[in-house]
Amino acid sequence: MSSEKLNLLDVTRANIRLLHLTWFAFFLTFVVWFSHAPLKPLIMEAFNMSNAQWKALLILNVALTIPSRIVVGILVDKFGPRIVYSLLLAAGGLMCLAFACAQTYEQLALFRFLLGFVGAGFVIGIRLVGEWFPARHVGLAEGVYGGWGNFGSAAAAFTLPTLALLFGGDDGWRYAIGVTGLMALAYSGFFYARARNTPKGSTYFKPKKSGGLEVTSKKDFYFYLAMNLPMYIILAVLAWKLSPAGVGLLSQGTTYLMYGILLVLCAYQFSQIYKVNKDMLHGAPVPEHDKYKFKQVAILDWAYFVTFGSELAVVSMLPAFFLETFEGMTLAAAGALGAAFAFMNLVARPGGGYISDKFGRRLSMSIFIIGLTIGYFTLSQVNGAWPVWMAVIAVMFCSFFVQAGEGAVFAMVPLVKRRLTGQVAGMAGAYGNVGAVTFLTIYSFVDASTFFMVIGGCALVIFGIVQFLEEPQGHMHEVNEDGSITQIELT
Amino acid sequence: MSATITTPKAPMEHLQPSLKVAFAQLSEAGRKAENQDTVGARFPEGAAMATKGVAMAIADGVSSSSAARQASQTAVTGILTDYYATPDTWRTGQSASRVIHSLNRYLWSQSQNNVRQEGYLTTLSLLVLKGDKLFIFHVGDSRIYRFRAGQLELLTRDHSQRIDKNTTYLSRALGADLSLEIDMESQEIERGDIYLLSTDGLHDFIDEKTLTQMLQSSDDLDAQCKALYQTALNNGSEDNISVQLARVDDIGTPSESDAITVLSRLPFPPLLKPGHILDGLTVEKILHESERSQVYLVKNAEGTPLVMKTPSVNYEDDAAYIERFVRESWIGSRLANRHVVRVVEPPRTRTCLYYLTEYIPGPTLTQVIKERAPLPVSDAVELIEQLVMGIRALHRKDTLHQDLKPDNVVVGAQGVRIVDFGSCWVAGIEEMASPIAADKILGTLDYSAPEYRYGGPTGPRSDQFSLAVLMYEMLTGKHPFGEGYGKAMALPQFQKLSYRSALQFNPLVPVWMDRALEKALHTQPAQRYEALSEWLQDLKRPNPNWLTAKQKPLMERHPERVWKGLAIAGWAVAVGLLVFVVTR
Repeated sequence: MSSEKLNLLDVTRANIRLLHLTWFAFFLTFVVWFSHAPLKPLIMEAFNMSNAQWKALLILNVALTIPSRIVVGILVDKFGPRIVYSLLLAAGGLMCLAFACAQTYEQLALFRFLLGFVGAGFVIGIRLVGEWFPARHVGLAEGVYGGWGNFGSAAAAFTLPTLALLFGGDDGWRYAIGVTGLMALAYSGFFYARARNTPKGSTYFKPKKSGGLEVTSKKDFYFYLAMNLPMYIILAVLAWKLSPAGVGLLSQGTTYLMYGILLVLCAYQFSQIYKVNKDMLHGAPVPEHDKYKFKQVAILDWAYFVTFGSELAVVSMLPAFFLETFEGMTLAAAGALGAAFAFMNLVARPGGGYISDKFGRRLSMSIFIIGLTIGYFTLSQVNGAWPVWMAVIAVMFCSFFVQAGEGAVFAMVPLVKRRLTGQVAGMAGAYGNVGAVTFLTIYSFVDASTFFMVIGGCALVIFGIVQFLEEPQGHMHEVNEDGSITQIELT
Repeated sequence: MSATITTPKAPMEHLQPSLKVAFAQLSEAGRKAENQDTVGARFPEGAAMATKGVAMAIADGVSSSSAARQASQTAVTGILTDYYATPDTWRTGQSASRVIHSLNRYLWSQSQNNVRQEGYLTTLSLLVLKGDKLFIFHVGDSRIYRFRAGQLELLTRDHSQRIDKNTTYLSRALGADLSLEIDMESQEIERGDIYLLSTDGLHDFIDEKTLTQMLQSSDDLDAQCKALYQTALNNGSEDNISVQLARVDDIGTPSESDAITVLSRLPFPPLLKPGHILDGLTVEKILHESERSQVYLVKNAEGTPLVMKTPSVNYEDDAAYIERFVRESWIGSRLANRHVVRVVEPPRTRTCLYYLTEYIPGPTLTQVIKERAPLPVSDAVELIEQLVMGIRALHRKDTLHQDLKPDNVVVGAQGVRIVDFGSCWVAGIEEMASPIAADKILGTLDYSAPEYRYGGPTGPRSDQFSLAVLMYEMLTGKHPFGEGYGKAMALPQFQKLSYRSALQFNPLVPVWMDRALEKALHTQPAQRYEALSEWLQDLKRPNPNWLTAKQKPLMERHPERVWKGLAIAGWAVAVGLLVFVVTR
């Protein structure tokens, strides 16, 4: 009934069918989410936009994702992944159509901001795939889900410029983006019809605990609180960026309101965290086997900050970067080359998890981060004098390490504390988006070359942080030559 | 005559790496004709030492009752055997108090049914030493003292009521009433502690000062027991005299007192592949894997195929899951029925958490239904009869299966077997507060009774519902309530669902059988059969009340007659009109 290997082509098996169904849903959310990036010149022309305005749009696109991950997590617990994914796709499709029909920059900005919600799709699929696969296969299945789904941004960059040109005219880009919206809408119905929350004959969909993460020492409690601050700080920076002091999209009053909302949210979240950890803080002893170090979570968060965060930022600007760096390049070609970054997702993300499983967590993570540091420093040197193929190779080299790093982070997430996997994953994911907003905010102040340089610098710092990562401990089993299993206790 | 149940060679040195206890006991009739006291102790070997500890009990049959001796013996034998038979997963307090309650109920019913109107009443004091703790369970006026660092301390409170200067009555005793309050106490133990258990024939005649002096005088527990007996006798004791002495020579590791630590002691096995050998068992094949567990076909050294179930690493630190997993194997191991899979002891000591069952080659009921539904009615009845036998074996052990579904039934050469206990509910475990929050909803949507989802009381009738769904599916290949059943969550939604007659899908199903199915599938548990045997009877022989079809509209029973009738009526009207016109 079951085999050792996961055969992705065996669609007679219900869980394989579900995997394909789910990664494609994630894929579409990415297409919709990054449908604007490769169409930069067309959109800028239609709205007579300044460069600053465009860059603000890029940040807006990833901002709402940070809080909406939490909302989506709660919805999944309450209603199950099937309906939530369908609704998310439908909502994304509608907002995408609205974006395509926008008449003013304000409308454009509003719908981009709302589309940030679509970015939270990842959480849903991770939960769904987790329900359907046994422990032996779940790592690879989730790697495929994440990797192939992320490839959606590449697919958008690859096809949308051509599509826009095919439609032609001033409104070609509108039709191209509109098509992605329609696809998401149609797939939403299909997904609802075909996907199921749990395998047939299995138990109910089981909600996981949401809210604050449990920590096991007082020190970790404050550490955890501190780790939550960057999310609010970066959103506050965004609000400032949109205020009259920045691009002037918000009035001064609204900006203050935003600060207020962020403060309230922060206070609320801290109270939730306090509630979960109240007993521990009041001196209730934590059983020895239940203890874990929050440090591990924090390191993974920062690793995801620089990997996934930079990926989201880079795919937003790369097509335009190619177009502007290399003279005489067509829009379609720039899109296709920009897609090179996300292309590696197909293999690098699952591969990163595999390498991490095999060769030790800290070592592989260090190598990936050093690799991407080199990659980003290389990218910062790319200019019009470079042959295009060299630039593409540099991009792919860099993106391999970025995505392998993402895979390595998620391979390690369940090992921090099995019971809290969902929450640890959620926090890492949020940090990925914090990274995206941070890097895009930096991008809004500097040129592309400096932008890459800054990411590289960040990566160097995070390389240092990763050195504090501890190899997960527990029981290890070794298979002897005759097949017998001996147990090695690691302490 | 001494009424000692287990007489360990005293003083007994127990050679356990952890807890070491020296022990001696004595029970004599004294000046009385008959000894109505009973003393006993048990020093288990191996794992039970860590999970259950050492238990010693003393009981004094209440003298006014002639069945006193039997009562005290029942209490001590009962507690010493039944306590060690409780699952390892139960905490000490839970295990002992449950056993004492059931002994109390037994003694009480003995008194009720006794023709000579004798009361089976006894006191009972139980001391359990486990790891670094002691647990006391106490009813009546026997006593447990602790002698530590030259100080004697009484750990129990006498349950007696003084009426006047000369008369005291026992205010609490085992067997006196259906409800019983047990004094429970748990404390840390220390090296060198001496515990003294005694009946009133002893402690009413030796004051505490003398007792302290005597306990200090010698290290030989056996000699001390004798000296205490002699002293009590010399001081004029006219009752039976019993005493137990236990000295803690070494304490156990503290971690073993924690239920979760005990459970999670065994690591989870790694994911196994064919060819791997674990504890002498060779993995042959992966039978099934899910998000929650792995099931392998393995072979022991003799080549006998067995099934090994291992927990999924997804739940490595989920205490509720681990408790459930351990309980699963325990449930299986206490059942012996042809239609329930047997749990097999592993050939060697387990190094990981898993359990073994016999291997039943054959398709699951799911496959049988997929390939053969609709099954011939007689085959379906035969299969369901065997399933009912299996389920009744569970019910007799106060256990509900809760997750009957075709996947959990294997149709082997020897008949059907129920193979999974993952969702079983055992009376007595759940009603006690557990430190571990349990999963609330278990079972499978399509097969579990509505009361699981709308939160009504569940019982054997819930399993009856699931069995009826299986029967219906065997006969028709369909679900009795259709697609909507899996979606309903609240009572009103269930009430909206209506039973779809099996005749609709399989005309060969007899009407009375369909009615029997309908009754067992009632959304209200109270409306189902009282007992599975009644249902089985209605499935095997026509219930005389149900020989004819339910009164249905004529149109459904005989559509052709309706149309014929209409045609005749039409012609009659036409003829009538014609006659009317002609005659005008």
